[in-house]
Parts: sequence; structure tokens; C-alpha cells
Amino acid sequence: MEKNIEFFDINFWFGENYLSQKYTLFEEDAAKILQKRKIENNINFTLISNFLSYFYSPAVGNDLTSELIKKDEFKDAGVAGALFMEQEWFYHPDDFENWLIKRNKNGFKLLRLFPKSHKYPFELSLFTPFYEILNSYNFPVMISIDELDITGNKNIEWDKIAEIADMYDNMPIIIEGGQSKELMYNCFLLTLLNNTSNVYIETHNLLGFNQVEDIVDFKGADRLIFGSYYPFFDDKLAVSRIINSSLDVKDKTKIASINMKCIIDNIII
Amino acid sequence: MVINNLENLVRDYIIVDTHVHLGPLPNLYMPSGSNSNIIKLLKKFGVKKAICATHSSLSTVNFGSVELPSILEEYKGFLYGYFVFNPNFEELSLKILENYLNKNLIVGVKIHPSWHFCYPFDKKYEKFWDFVTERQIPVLTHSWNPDVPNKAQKYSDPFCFEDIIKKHPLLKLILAHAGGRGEMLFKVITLLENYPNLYVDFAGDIFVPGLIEEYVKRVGSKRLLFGTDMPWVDIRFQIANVMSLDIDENDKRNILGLNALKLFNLKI
Repeated sequence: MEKNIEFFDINFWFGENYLSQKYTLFEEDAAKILQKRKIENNINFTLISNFLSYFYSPAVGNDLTSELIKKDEFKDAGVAGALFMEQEWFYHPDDFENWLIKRNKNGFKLLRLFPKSHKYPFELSLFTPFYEILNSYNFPVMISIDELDITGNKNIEWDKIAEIADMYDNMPIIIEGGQSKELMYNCFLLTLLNNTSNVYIETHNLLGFNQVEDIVDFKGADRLIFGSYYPFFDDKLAVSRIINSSLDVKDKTKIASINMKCIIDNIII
Repeated sequence: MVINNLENLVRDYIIVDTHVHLGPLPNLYMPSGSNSNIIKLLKKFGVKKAICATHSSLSTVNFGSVELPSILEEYKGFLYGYFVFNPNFEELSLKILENYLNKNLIVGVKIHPSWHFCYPFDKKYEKFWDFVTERQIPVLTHSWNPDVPNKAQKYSDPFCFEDIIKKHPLLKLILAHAGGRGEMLFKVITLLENYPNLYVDFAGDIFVPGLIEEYVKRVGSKRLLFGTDMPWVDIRFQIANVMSLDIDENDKRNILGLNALKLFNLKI
């Protein structure tokens, strides 16, 4: 029965990673891999993130992703887009709402923030116009823990996330661990979950002993969202960890796909 | 294909976890991470023997040396120990190690150059390398790519060990984490190609697709060890990783436990 748990992967990277050929996934290979994952691992839905949006230009990457997800082979693989914050929007903040509506219509269901890498603010005081709009549409944002480590000294700005979550409680905020180990083993995470209702944790690097089960025990299964972090992390292992957890099937299903589907269903654009 | 029932799948394998930690640390809060729960999960997922270095042994000298025997006694027959050599207390640490050996309390020694902020080629390690080589005690060392944000990892660059191995060709050395990150994971293969008494484990979050297959292809499976790094990394990731490898069944069995039985002279 558990073999049939359906997965929704919110953290899948494709495109050209100029730092590594091994982690580069060209369009046709991406389509094949997405189909394969569907058959083998029951990953029936995927939010795809384009390396070009990260390494080259969020705007160009978003345009390319937008074209890609219209194609049949990607539609068949259950693909939607992860939108990257475009620097242009800081220059024309009044146009952000229209851009968001347009991108949403083109199949983008999540906004990824890279404030450290792309040099823009995410703090409450400076990002307010954007949060206002995102909050009004219940549009989710995802931020990597690496991006919150502004100093590079693992001094994660957890309090700022708590402030934003508190002020904009219709806007789901998903934290993902990236390459960092900072999602593991700390009390910041527990406190953040305990003091907010709209913060979610992506699962790929909840690697610690019994960590998935412990979070569910602490705050329920509603706050965890499956992500594979492919190709940096093996999607088989990410799926296997949830399937082989000691959780009941209902909780596994919530984490695997239901929680993210609910977030997307709640978008009111 | 996703592995659906790990527990049943590992039932027929001899699994030896050569890289376990026990006990608390101030920056490692795990609500259910008691020693008994950790051991329970190891056993549930097929581990027949485990070798541990306690966190207290890494972070203290005297305190850890007192705590380790009592933990080993509690799980006798299942749990074995690494003594942690601390180069910052060179003389004292060697004295305690000698005492441990006299009482047959440990099967190996662990060093962690990054934890102790001391290069393995530092003078403080000189007597240690002679000591363990002479007595043929396997040494597990933390190893990592120095080119990462955590600057302390420079002390555990796998290539820092090359001159030591040359000077002590009979030294049985295990490079834990196989170099840890990025291209270093693949560069370490050349070290294994050149030095026949060198081993690796893939403990921790080392889940690079194709990595272990590449090791097996180039140096065979007999110097590859199974380690989880529990409780830092949950055993379910490690087991699923090895069980899903595209390698010969005998190689899988070597990695999961047979190599460790031989290296540490353990009996099932």
C-alpha cells in the first residue's frame, strides 16, 4: 500500500550548472528523468527550479522555464515552475503584482528567494511591498537556509523569518536546507515552528536521527513538505526516508504531497 | 527503484556500522536521541555490530575516558569502541590509550583533526602514529575537503595524511567520509589506488550518485566500510543508499559488514 504514496517534489533543479557537468541537466534529459521518477518513485508532481535563474539571470531563467513547462513531455510529468525573484521588480515594484499574476498563469506556483546570492533584501522593512502582495494571494515563498546565513558564519537570521511569518500569516514560508546542515539538530527550528503557523520545512536534509518523526511528534505532519534537492541529493533516498519512517500512512501522505497541494490550492490569483 | 521495506530487505545481511557516536553534545539536540533509542534503530535496520566514538571522548579527555567503558559494558557484544586520541593532551591521551589496550576495551582509535584544530602531521601526533602502527590498531580519522566555508576542515584534508602513510606503510587508516564534499570525494580514490592499507567509509551525508560505484570499479570493495554517523545522519538514508547501489551482490556484502569484521577482528 505504501508503495502507492504519491510524491510532490518542490525542490528539483535542472538546466546548466556551470560549476559541474555532473549536476547539469539539459532539457531533454530533465524530461526523461522526470518521467522515470514518476514511474519508479511515484513522484507525480514536481516544481522545477532552473540553474540559469540562479547562476545567470532570474528573468531569463523564468522565461525559459515558462516555455519549458508548456511542453507536453513536461506537462505529462506533472511539472510546474518555481519562480525566482527578478531584480527588475525592485526597480518597478508597482508592477510586481501584474508580473506575479502573469507568471502564475504561466504555471509558476512558488517564489524562491535568494537574497544573499542575488543581493536583495528579504527583511520585513525592505521587502514589505512584495510580501503584501504575496500575502494577499496566499502565494508561497521558499528560502534556503544558506541564504539566511548572511555573515557566512552560520549565524542564521531565524528571528527575521519569524517576524515575516507573524506579519504575513497567509503567506506560506517554506525553509529548505540547501547544502547546509543548519536545519539539523537545532532548537531554533523547533522554536520557529512553535511560534508560527505558516512556516514549513522541506524534508531533503532532515538527515538527523529520527528528525522527521521528532518534528511530526512536536508539531504534527502539516508542517513538513517533501523535496528531493535533485540532482545534488538522490531522490530515491529522499522518498525512501519518508516511506520507511515510523509515521502512519496519513502523515506520510501529508508530507509526501498533500501539504504542498493544499498550499497551491489556496493560492487565490 | 524506491526501497519500500528496508527492515525486511536487510534481514539476510551482516551489517557492521563502523561510525557511530553516542551521548549528548550542546549543539546536537535530538528529542528522541537517547543512546538506547539510537541502538534500537541500528538493530531494527539490521546492524549486528557497531563501533562508536562517544561525543564526550571527542570533547573531553578524562571525562570521556571514564564514560566510554560504561557505555560499552551496557551494550556488550553489540557495541565496540574507538578511543579518541586528543593531540592537545598528547602524553595523557597516549597513557589512557595504553590503559584501554591493556583492558581490551577498544577495537580502534579515532582522531578528528578538525575538532581538535591540529594537523595530523603536527609534532603532537608523531608518537601517536608510531604507537598505533606498531600495535596494528586501526585508526578512523575524520577527513574533509578543505575548500568549504568551515575553515577547521583544513586540518582534515585527506592529502594531509599522505606523508604519514608513506612513513608508516603498515598503518591501517580509515578516511571517514571519504573526503566529505565535492571533487575531493573522487580524488580520494587515487589515494586508495596508491596505498593498500588505506580504507574509507561513506558516513554522514555523502550521497553522491555513482560515487561508491566508482570506488568499487577502481579499487574494489574490500577497503570500503559501512558507517552511518548516527545520530548525525539517520541510518535509513545509509541503508537505502547501499541497498540501491548498482554493484555486485558480493561487493555489497563486503561493504555492509564483511570488511569491517576482518579489519577490526570481530566475530559474529
